[in-house]
Amino acid sequence: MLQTNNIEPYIGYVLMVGLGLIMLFIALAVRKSLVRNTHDFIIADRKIGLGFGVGSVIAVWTWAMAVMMSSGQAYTWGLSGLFWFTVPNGIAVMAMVPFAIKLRKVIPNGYTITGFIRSRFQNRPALIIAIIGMIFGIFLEIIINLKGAVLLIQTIFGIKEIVVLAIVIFIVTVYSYFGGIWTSAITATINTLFITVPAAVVTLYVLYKVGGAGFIFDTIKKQDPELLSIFRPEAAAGFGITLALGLLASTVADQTFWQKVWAIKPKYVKRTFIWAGAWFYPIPIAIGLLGLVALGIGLNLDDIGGDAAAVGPYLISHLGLPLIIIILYVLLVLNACYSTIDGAFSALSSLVAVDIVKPLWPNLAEKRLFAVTKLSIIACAFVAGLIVMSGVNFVSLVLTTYAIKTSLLIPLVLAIFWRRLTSKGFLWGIVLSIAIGLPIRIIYDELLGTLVIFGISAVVPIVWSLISKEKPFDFSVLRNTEQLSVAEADQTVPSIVASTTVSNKSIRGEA
Amino acid sequence: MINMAYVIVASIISVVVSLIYLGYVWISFRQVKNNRKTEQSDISSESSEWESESWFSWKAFISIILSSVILFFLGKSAQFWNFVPFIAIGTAIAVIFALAIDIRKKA
Repeated sequence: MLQTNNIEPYIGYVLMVGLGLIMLFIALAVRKSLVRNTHDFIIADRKIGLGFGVGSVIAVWTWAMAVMMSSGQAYTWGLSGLFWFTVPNGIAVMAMVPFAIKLRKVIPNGYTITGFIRSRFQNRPALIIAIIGMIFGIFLEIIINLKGAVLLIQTIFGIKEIVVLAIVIFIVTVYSYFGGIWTSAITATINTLFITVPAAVVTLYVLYKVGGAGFIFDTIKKQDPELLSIFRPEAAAGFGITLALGLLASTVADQTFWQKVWAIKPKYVKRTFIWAGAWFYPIPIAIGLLGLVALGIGLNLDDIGGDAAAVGPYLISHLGLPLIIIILYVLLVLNACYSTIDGAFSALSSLVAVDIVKPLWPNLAEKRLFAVTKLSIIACAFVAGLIVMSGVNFVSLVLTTYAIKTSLLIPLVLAIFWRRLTSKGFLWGIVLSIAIGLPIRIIYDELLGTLVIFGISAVVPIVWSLISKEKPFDFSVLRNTEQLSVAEADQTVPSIVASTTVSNKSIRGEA
Repeated sequence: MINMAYVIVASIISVVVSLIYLGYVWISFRQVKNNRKTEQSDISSESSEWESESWFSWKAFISIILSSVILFFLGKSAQFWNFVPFIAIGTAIAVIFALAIDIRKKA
């Protein structure tokens, strides 16, 4: 059934560059119309509506690697793998709702989750560890998506890793540079179309090509009926529970999502995350069927280089499919890759502007702040590119990032909802959970290590805060948080103006 | 042949949905752009009803149950396999609805 892959590499180049040029064109149009200052660039003047909100959250959450992993987990564990991959993914997005509503109420002029931590605790070490966690998380998003693009393009077109990396990172950096979160929201909404629609057509064509769903279903049933059950405990223990916990940390402790919380019109925040989580589900379910097809036709893991994530690209390039179907699949994964990296760049720019540059140089003119914010994207792309191209094994980066983000989750939840949480409880909860949990995760077991991180990061802050005599925090003070100026970037004006946030009025024109 | 029919139907629906989707993106973009030009800052005029919203959503709960049920039935009959990919197009239709809500509210 499988055939030799004879697809010309130039098609891969055309797809990578062509998609990038389309996105660049859109970015330039968006920039010209909607982006005039740092405020627009990093928070879209808080005017993103439901449509661009839902479209962009779906695209940002659909990682290139996730598209391929849905097939990979279905191939490895059968339907249980697809179940444990899919269901927690949607829950993780919808789980943002209570946190988003609460923080949007108490800090209406917020920009970053680290900005909230700064105002809530006034504790430099706590702020630094949170910023490091967020920045590592952003790097990880970029690196994993770059790796996803490499896996796809290498498997299908045989183009060298370094070439794919250079092209992808250059393209996304250029169009992210021009527009900030407005560009990210609008291009990502278009990305969502090119992720969802091809997913349906490609999967149905693959089912047709291999002889129909009935044939695959019967073959899998003959191999092992358990592969068609969603209740296999091995899948839950093997990766499901760890993934579910990690995914929660990936949204709640991720600036990419918090930036959207403050950029979307407040009345749409809840609906955006509910719709995005709910309508994310069809994507991995549809694409996951490719993994079951691979199981059904008896694809050998050794044939695809031992990496289950490559099942989708391998199947697509070796079934003798028409070129248009292959192109649709490649566009699907590239759209997922570009939108997530673009979203990560946008989140980084907000972190740099609000949490690094403004606190260090509070009197920086708007024009310079805007320039530095945009340059941070180029610097991040450069570093991420260096990390990946250097060929270093970034397992340690992944592990450290994962540990920091997981350890941040419960202290962050407590910081948002529990007035009694103290800065020391917050800080030591994170530090001790990393110091004890990370070695356990590396040396013993992933699941055990994760549970230890969660346990310590929950117990330490609670106990520490309960025995502390500090007064409970008054959330109402956060309503007076300052907002960046909305002055034009080409004017030199004081770049922070105290906003009239108590009445939540716009500060437009007051500069 | 039946399997090919699913592909053809999905392709036709995909083309129609894509055109409508891009049309709505374009209209939404134009609307945001026009609002920026007229510079009507609507933050102060925005309703604060959302502040009293509950965080719980039945829609979220239903979507989790529904996706689990779909996955469960994929293991029961091959018939479902040909229909499930169509729900991916449903995601694009949901975004069209979301864009339409924006456009209607602003009009």
